[in-house]
Amino acid sequence: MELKNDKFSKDMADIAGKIDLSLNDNQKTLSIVSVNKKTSQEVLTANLAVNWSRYLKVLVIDLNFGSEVFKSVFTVKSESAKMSDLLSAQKSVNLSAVGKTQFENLNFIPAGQVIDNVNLRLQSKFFSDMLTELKVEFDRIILNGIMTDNLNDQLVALKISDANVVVVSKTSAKKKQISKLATNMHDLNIESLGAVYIY
Amino acid sequence: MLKNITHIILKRIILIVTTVIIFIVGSIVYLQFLSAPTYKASVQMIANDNVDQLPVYSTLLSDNQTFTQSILSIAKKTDNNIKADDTKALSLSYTAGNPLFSISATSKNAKSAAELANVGAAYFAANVGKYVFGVNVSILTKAVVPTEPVRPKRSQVLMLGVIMGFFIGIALAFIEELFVNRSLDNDYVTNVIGFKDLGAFSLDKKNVQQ
Repeated sequence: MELKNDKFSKDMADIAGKIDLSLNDNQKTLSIVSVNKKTSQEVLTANLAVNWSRYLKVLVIDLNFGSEVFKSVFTVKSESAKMSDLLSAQKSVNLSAVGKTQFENLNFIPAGQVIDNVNLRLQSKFFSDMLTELKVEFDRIILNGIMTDNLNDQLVALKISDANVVVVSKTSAKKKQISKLATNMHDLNIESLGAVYIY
Repeated sequence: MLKNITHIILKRIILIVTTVIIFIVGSIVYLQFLSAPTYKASVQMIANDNVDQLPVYSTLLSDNQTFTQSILSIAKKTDNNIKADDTKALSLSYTAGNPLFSISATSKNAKSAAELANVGAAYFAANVGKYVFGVNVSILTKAVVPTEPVRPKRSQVLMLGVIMGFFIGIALAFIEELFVNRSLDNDYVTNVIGFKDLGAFSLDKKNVQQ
């Protein structure tokens, strides 16, 4: 994804820089979540990944099973690993099978098809071990959280990552939703790096 | 938490100030056009002997119908504005052991209040001896027509308007912030919810091409 124009690319570079400064050395997995399914959080995910890939080895993992939100953004070979296959088979990820995108240093694992018990699978030891393995290979792993109105699904991505960023859209988010998410994060002791606002 | 509350108040300060101004204007309108002012006039008197009888004088003025009806009929001869109800506003105030006391009258009309107080005091001085044996009271100073009403008190009404306007303004600010304006802005996310501001971007072509 090449950046659309100067203002947009400057904003994205600023956001990438701020998030980068907020992360500490131990925080390698970053989840991007939003309060409802209408928020275009994938725009932030993709642009963060592109910005960071200029000087870091970055992996984007999409958790939106059954949808292909990054289809027009990242070009990967069809035989590349998909999250649905990895979670269903419960086998270690073959690093050579992780899709390389058109951007240097930027890899991508698409979500793949819909699978059952997604939340349980994502919180399993298997997935935790897989992330640990990937952290050795990549400097930064971005989990594109499930884009849904279901709060519990959003919380899963927050729980399995080292850090998180909440994306808030002016046009689709409601105060009630963001308040509820913040309350749940507080109850679960999940700290957020902060919020990015789409206006 | 306190920081967030302060932020909401400062953010809606115009609403709060506007509410206070509306309440002040409302108070002034009430004072000028809606409230009927009440005036009070007093006559200073002295009990020349038998100070212990002052409580009896007070009862005489408030409870004796014949006494008050006589005062009313005399006062009406000089002031047609005086009504029967005005005699109920005749009162006697005193301090135990002190020979000085006063007879006061309240009325919606300033002149009537002064007239009623003067007539009441004169009648009282002349006729109290008929009811309480061997007493002697006299008038020290006559009542003058009051210029300022005793009710409503302008300063109190205005102060009440300011206080009510302030608190209702704050309540409106919170209602608007938390319930009415349901769409989010960056300020709400950062300062009310407490998420650190990591930046903003637009997907709108108009904003993007700035």
